[in-house]
Amino acid sequence: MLKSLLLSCGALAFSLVLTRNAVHAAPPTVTFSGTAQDCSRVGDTLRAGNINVSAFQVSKARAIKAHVDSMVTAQVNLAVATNDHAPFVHLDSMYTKLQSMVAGTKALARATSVANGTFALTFSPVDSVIVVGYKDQEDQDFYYSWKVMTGQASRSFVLDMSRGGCGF
Amino acid sequence: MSKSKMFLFAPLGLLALFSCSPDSEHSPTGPNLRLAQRIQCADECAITTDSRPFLLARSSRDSVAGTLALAEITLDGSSGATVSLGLAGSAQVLAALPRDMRILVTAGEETKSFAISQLTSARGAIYRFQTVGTVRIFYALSRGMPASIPLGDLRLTQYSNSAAIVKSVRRWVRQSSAFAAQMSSSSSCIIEAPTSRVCGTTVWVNPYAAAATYEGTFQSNPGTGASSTIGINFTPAVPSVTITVYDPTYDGNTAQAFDSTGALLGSVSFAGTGTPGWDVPDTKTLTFNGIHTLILTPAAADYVAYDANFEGTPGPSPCPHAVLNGSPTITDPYGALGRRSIPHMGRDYDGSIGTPILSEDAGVVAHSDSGKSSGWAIVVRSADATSYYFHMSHRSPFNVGDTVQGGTQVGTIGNTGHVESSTGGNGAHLHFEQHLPGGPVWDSTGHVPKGTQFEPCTTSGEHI
Repeated sequence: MLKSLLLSCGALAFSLVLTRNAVHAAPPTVTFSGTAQDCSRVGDTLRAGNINVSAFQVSKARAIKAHVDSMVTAQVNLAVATNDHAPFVHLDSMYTKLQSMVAGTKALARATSVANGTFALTFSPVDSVIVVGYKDQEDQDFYYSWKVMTGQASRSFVLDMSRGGCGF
Repeated sequence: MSKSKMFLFAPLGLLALFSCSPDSEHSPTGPNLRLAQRIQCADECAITTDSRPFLLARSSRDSVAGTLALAEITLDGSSGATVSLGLAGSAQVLAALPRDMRILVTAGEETKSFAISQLTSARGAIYRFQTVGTVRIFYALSRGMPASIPLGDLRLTQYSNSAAIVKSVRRWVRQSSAFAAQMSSSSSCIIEAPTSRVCGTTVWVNPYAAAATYEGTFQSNPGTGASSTIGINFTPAVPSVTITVYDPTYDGNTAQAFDSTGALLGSVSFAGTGTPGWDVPDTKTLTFNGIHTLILTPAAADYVAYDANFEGTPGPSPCPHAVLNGSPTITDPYGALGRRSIPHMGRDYDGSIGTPILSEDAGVVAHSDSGKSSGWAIVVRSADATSYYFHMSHRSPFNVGDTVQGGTQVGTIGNTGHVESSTGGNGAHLHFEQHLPGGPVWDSTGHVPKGTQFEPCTTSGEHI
């Protein structure tokens, strides 16, 4: 009886130590509270639901950062092209590649925006974060956006799915 | 309008803003503008018109992609809570509503379309909460009202069971009483943007600045300095234009109408009050055969603002040539939200794979390619529009730079690209989208340009 009591007390003490260690070991987290927005014309503000959103540590996702940067040039080339075949195909392939890069790269956190456009990404603090959002949307090619932010503290932000087209 | 008058009005404006009813919180209206519609929420929300002639204005700020946005109501509901919609009104008002007018309701990711008769005979089911949550419901009309709606009541009522209204936003319609009175005997084709497609007419206004005060829609230059001449072009030409000049202090404000050859058709003059700060708007109508250009010239040193509307056909114009043969079924109307993040920028037609797609007008091919979302697509620039045809079964036989005639087959209906929201079993449909002519096919973000879209022209016999 005494033996089993001692064993129980020992187990309890051991579990308490584990719990205390676990509490102390829990790393701090930051939460990015985002809202995906778009518009039908400048002046409107519409919330974008069902956007696939991923957060990456920039230092570990430099390929994604370089890729989205190069897509800016591809977009402009498409806009100014007289014959848009080559730039359209190029941007289309870049968009497809972006999706595969986002899916295949280890993310800090992933989420899908709900109907009112909001989403939350929670992760351990890092120096710099790139948030990428996209959605395969009927009638809209290249529906994606990204934003680079410091990742040391929680914050709220808008993910502009128009990438400047709405004037947010 | 003199600057001293602005100082005179500033305190009045503030007073009026603070005395507004709660439902004016989201309104862009100024202090002396009449709200033609109200939302009153208690246990239920009622969207009502006032007792004046029932008029709808197209306001770019208050409309959602060409449909006429009525209201946006957000509800918190418990599992199983339901929301429904009813419509009631005086017999004469209901009888005067266009037969093809529909009330569009987007709740969550689903858009429903109700005929007027559906809602007057029974409540229409809008939404059922599957779990505890929040839903945002948008109400809109599929088209504008004709000008000749008689006096009477019209009430659209949202009923909810086990759901609480957490927010309501009245959209739509800002009107001064003078403007409304004038509009009641005219059309509802209102000019509100520097470039727009209104009532089947492309309208350019140059220069254009939003009116600096609460009166009028536009003026020549920002601020309250002396006005300069404004030119307005109509394509195609229109038979009648009505202009209201706000705050004409001096005699000498004029409007001149010209035809497409530049020949002067006629002109009107607006009376000045002679007293700075005394605002008596003056309204004149120019009626001639084929007004292509209107020149608004202010009196020397005068500062004025304008409202302008013209005779046209409210709603989309007929396509010069049918896009599809027969009587095509619209499966997803222009402006509907559906599963998208933004309202539908075009119109979807149901159709079996291989059904011929015809160019709505003569033009030049600006894009012929395949995209991840648009599938096989072709874009044709014509004089009146840039037209996008998406999700074709195969590559169009036409290439960039080719000329096509109106009615020419440019492709066939298919289900290529991203077609998840199509109602068809295999997703086959035509997405037909139109933008103002002359703009880029893609903007600098790679998107189809925002803000230049308009409700596409219609093919005879089409139905929802």
